[in-house]
Amino acid sequence: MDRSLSGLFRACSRLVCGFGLFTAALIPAPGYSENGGSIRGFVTDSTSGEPLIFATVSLRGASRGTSTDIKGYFYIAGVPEGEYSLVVSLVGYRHTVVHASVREREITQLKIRLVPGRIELDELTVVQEREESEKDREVGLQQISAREINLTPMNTEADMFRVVQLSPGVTTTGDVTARYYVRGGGGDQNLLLVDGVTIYSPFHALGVLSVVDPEIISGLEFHKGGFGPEFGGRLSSILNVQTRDGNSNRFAGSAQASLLTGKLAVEGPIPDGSFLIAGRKSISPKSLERFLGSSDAPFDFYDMSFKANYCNPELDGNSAFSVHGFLSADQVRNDDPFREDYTVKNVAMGIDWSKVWQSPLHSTVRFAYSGFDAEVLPNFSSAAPRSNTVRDVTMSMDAAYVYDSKDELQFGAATKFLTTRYALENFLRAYVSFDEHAWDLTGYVNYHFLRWESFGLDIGMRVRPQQLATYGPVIFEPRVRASYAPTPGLVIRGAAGWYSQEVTTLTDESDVISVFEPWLIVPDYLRASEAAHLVAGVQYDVTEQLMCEVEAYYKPMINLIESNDQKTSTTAFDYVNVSGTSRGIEFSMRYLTDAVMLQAGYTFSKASLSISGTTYTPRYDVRHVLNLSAGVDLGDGWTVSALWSIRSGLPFTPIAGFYDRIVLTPSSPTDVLQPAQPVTAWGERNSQRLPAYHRLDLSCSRRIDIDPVRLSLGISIINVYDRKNIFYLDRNTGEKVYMLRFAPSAFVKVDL
Amino acid sequence: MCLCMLGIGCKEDFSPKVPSGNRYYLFCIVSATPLGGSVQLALVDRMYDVPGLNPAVNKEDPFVAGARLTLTVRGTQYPLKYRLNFREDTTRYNTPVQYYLGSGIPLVANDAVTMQATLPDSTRLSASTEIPGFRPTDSAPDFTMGVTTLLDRENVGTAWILDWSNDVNDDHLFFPSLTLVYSTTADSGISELHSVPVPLKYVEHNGQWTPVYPSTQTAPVLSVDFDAIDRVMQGIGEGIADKSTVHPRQMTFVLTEYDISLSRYYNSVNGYPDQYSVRLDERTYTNVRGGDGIVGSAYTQSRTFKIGRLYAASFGYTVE
Repeated sequence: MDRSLSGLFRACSRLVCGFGLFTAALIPAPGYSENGGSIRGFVTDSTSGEPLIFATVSLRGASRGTSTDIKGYFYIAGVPEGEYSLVVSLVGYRHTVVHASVREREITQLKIRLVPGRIELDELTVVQEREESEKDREVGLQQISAREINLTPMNTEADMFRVVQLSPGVTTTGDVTARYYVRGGGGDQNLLLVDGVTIYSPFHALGVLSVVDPEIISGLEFHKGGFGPEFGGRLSSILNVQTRDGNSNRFAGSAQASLLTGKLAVEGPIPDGSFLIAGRKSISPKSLERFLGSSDAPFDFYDMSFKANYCNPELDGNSAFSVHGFLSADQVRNDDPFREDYTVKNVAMGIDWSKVWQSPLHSTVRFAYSGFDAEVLPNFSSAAPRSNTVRDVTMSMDAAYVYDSKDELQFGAATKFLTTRYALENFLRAYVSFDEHAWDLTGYVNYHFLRWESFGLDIGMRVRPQQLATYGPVIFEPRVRASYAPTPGLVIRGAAGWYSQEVTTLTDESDVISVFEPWLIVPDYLRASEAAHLVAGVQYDVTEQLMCEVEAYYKPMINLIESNDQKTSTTAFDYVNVSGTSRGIEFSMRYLTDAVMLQAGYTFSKASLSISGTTYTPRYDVRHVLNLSAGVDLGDGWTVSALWSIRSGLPFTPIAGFYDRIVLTPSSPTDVLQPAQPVTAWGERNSQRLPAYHRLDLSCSRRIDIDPVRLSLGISIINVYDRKNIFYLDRNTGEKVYMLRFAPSAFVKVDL
Repeated sequence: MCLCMLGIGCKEDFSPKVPSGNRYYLFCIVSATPLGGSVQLALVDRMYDVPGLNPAVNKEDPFVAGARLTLTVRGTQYPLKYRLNFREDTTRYNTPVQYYLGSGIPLVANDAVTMQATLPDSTRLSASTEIPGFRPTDSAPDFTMGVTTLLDRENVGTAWILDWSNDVNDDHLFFPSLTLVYSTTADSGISELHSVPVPLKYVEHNGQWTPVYPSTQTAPVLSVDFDAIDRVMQGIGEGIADKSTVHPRQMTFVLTEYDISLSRYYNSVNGYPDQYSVRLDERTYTNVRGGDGIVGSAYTQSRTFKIGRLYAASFGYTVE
């Protein structure tokens, strides 16, 4: 299957490439239309000046609409000359109607401020005028706002991965680990971007929390598959996090404490801009003990982020500059020379220049650095020493040009200089070091046919003339997406694409908990991983608030990287290429108003991996997943939320029996008659399934305004009915190790 | 759909076990020394089941009697014989220890050895190993006049280095050890021989100095801090009023080298990535065809070093 599939897709890529060039030739040269003008602008929060993402912008009476992007920007093209009312709406804000005059061959520029507040009854009529935006039609995309993160019941405290894990098609292998698997892909096939910068180790304390503090998040775009050519480098998903800009109107601060962390944030205006500085630190290792199941877990972690924005109207009112940075670290210091210590650090920085040009062109130029360092220091213990270093310098340019026909041309380029180093003592206690240095060059073009009211088509291509690990000729990765809206509210959509990944984490799929995931450019002796995405779905908006969606996918993967179980000598490689397939169907329902958020998601999926002719089920393959969640704003500052998850059991390797294993004395290994150690004999790999998992979590919080302070108090209960969900079977004893049991927690937050 | 999921959730007849057929285990670690002559022990066990998940409750010895075992060395087959022996630890099994014994088999360094076992049910198990070779060991300082730490440490360094790195096999594990042998003479004139292991170094832990002893390693070198030697030398005379009755005799360096299969087996049983990571289903290494277990080999050699007279005298001891 591998070779033939690869060949088929390469042929298809050439075909689509040719078609793309043909299409491009037909596209009129960029310019202003003879018919009408355009409206563009930014939507911000009136109190803080923060850009508002995913807000709906509709042109009353003109059957035109869009939504703001992750920077709060929108563009409506091909608007006939005239006077219009622009309706802007977003859950949690009052609807705003703005007057706009459109002139022939001109771009009308607006800055729209939405006032926070609940929806009023007489505004409901406006809601019905909402138009589907191109984002609404995008396959495999979930947009998550900061509000949704805070409305989701928490494990320890609000966390973006918790929300991501509830998305249909996403599975996890445990309550503690935040590592997630998207549509049958491995845990390292998910790209996390924070303000466009790659974060290599996104977890604190073995995965209890993500390293990105939800306090700094403006919104997320979670692409589960079939994503466009602007994204690449991972086979399964893209989690694109946009952080807040900071309050541009006044200085503000907040302090928060939960049983796990303490946080501080300061934000405010600077001349022609704003800034935000936020930090978070673990309070006590004791509070982690119940999550990690260890009474001796001296974890200590912190993260810090900053962002400063600058836009000088006198210099160039259409240009905005942003400097942002991120730092996180985890460490274990045992204060015992006979036990190992470890450290994990992320450092990320970026400088962005965004410009809205006089023509309908919007561009962003970015310089980004991301560093990752991790080390296990064995001291005088028997632990295996390991260390991993990643240095990633990326320069990129992304641009979008909107034609008056509403069609949009997206294009961009990026170059990445990447160094990875992984040193370890391997299975044979031999010191092994993987050192890789490479650079790549990527360009992409994506043409959105948005000219038709009910039909949308994206044809794109990601072109990679220089690769990190493939060393081949130019690689083309075609991406095609289409949507059809036969009636208002109903969208049928599909996507197909070819994806590749040239960095990998060298972890064993059987590691249910790992201290860190070492990243490496795919070594020369292995082929880079590739996958095809075939996705089809239907979305039906029953009302403005109620949305139903069905999506099915098929994802064949080749050259995935797994540890070599058959390694018999030091000359044999530690890792091998394997192939895999995943398929599934997802149903989701979502009811969202200012006061209520109800969500239901069900997934049926199947994943398998094949090595040397043997097919087995990966540990993250879950057949059925059902998540039901509710968040209600009861008024007077009260918010309650609940989450009930149920899923079929994870695959596990059963116990075939037991045997007496000889115990070797290092100085006299030949004496096999010493009392033996009785141990488990394992059966066929992952051939059985654990019992079903289910768990109910509840959260309740109260916000009290005591001018000028806003106080928030909250409690949450994990696993309300104390379900004993099995995490894994101990390899030595076969005993069951359970996931999180009944656990209450609390937090207090003060906003100034 | 919800009802279906609820049905899945309520199904609780879970057992982590699956019925499995017979599985056999062969264990034999052959050995050789420069002096020649060897006794080889082998076990053949079967997989067993117990009620519940704790195999320690098994009271029936899983040894498979009646098997036919042979060792083949340089084209000659040597049969192993069934033997019984007294069992000291009867916590689990109350029957004599059963095993297969091969004696008088002329094994030397670098021999290729094949073990075959034919079980009563005709199951055949086999595995091969190659005995590691002799490793010349260099000493720095060379201590031709006996071991001493009364040296110019600026020039010599602060540790005694024993190095056997010439032509080593990266696949092999080593277990080096250093022992101080000494005797004490009682007032009655009777001498008593003692030995004490010499640690590599001492590290401070909770305000106390704790010794760090050698463990299995791939590095073909052993570094012993002079300070550690001093502490051991100091320790052997503690509590003895007349230090001249303490007689340091020699330092014995013993090096045991494991072949590749035994090295891999040892690591699969004893290695772990770190105290927090959890890896499931990790298999114990086996090189046995037709079953599981390990047939490996080890080669043990030793070298002795005298104790320097002046060095011993610095503690008040005498060298006989």
